[in-house]
Amino acid sequence: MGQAVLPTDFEMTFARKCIVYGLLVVLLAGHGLDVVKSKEHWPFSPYPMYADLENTRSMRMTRMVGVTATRPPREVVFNAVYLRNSLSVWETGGQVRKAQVLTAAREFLANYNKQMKGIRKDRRLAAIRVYEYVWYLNPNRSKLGDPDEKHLLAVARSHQVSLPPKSSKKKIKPAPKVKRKKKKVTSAPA
Amino acid sequence: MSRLGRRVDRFFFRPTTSFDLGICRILFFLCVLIFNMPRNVESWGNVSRLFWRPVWLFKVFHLPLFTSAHLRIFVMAWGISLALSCVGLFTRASTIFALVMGTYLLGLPHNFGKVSHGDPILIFTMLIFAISRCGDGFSIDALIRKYRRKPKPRRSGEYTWPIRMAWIMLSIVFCAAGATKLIRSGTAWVTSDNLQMLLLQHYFTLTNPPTQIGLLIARHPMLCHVLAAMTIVVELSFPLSLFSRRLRRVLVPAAFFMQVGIGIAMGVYFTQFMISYLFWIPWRRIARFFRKWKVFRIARVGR
Repeated sequence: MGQAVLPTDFEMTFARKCIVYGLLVVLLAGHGLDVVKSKEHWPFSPYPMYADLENTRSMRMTRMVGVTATRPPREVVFNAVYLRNSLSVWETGGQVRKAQVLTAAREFLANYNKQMKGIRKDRRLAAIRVYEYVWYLNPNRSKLGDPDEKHLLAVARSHQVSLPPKSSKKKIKPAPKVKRKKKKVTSAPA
Repeated sequence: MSRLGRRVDRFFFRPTTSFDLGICRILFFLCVLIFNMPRNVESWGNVSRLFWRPVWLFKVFHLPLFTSAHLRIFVMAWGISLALSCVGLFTRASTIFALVMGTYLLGLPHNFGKVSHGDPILIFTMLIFAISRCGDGFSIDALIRKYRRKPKPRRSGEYTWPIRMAWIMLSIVFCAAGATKLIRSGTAWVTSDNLQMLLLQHYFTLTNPPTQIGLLIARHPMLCHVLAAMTIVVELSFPLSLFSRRLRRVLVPAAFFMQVGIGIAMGVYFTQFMISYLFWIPWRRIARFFRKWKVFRIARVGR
């Protein structure tokens, strides 16, 4: 026995079908052109996820690092992808663009300190350093994180925030030296 | 109409009930709401204009970068429209609003030097929902219509084409990704150390993946070549799943597990694509199975 067919309440009109086919054409043509031309017209895209060859056995990355206004100063890495990418593009793009790195660092610092002013004063930054990190990729390496090389590219210092003076730091009395008795070292039997 | 034309017409407009589309609408907008609301979109309002590099859509329509206060309001409005689209209240208006707001808010982070490729599929799927009659099933609109004793639509091609279009969208994404790999890098994408380097880059520097699987795979160059070849094959052959039910049963899970594998090995999660797999699940068949199972259980208890 065949399956019972429910009554079709409404047929699709010609105009509605045209809209659907129109949408199909837009999707296919938009993405097709991007693939052929290898260009991005967001939200149309050739979807180049990891499409470019990675043959070098090292990896370079430009990173922005904040220097805290504390003693001793600490370095805080800003790992936002937009910072990484923009800085990398500017850094490799000649002298004019290198100047942009410094301007961006200065503006980022001023903006960050302005935001922290009302919330956490102790989190304000005294400077921003822009580094190029280099990692040598080796499958037998087990250590995570730290780069193999670190080159300082630019420094932007804050005019408003500076390191606290050394005198404000409490002096810690050195612990009294305890004379230890020298132990007699007995030579191990040969 | 030619034979091919009839087949295409049947593929898109074979009459069906609103069950699958209704379920897909609820789950899609719920997932978009859950995964995208925690994104801190309003913080982009504080980022220096120096970093502003607008993508094509923002450039063409001269879409500006609003302040954080404005963005916060947009995010709230978008959240409400997503919730309304999910429950199916004022469905047409809420899906259109979700599309317009979503395009701006999802697109905004791509204007700062990094374009990620997960969000377009959400935008195009929202466009499909905005055009479709997705509010006819499993919605408050449908309940209101029932209350007003308006005739209930049964079967129509209107409930088939949105799901088929979502299938086509995912096929375009995978096929384009495979083709671009071959156009830009050729067969060297498979035969060179490319995948090994990618895995190491992500393991050591970029994303800190949750497991050491990426590193373990990278230690076996042959395995890297095999996985790279499998990636290209799955991506390029994915559109075949549109035409063959048998291939659909193989290719769709293969692509799904490939993306899960990328998440585990490289720490790169394609959450947006995961939402798109909802359209490939035969919800009506699952419901029928559970209905049968329930009847069977009741019959056993009754004995």
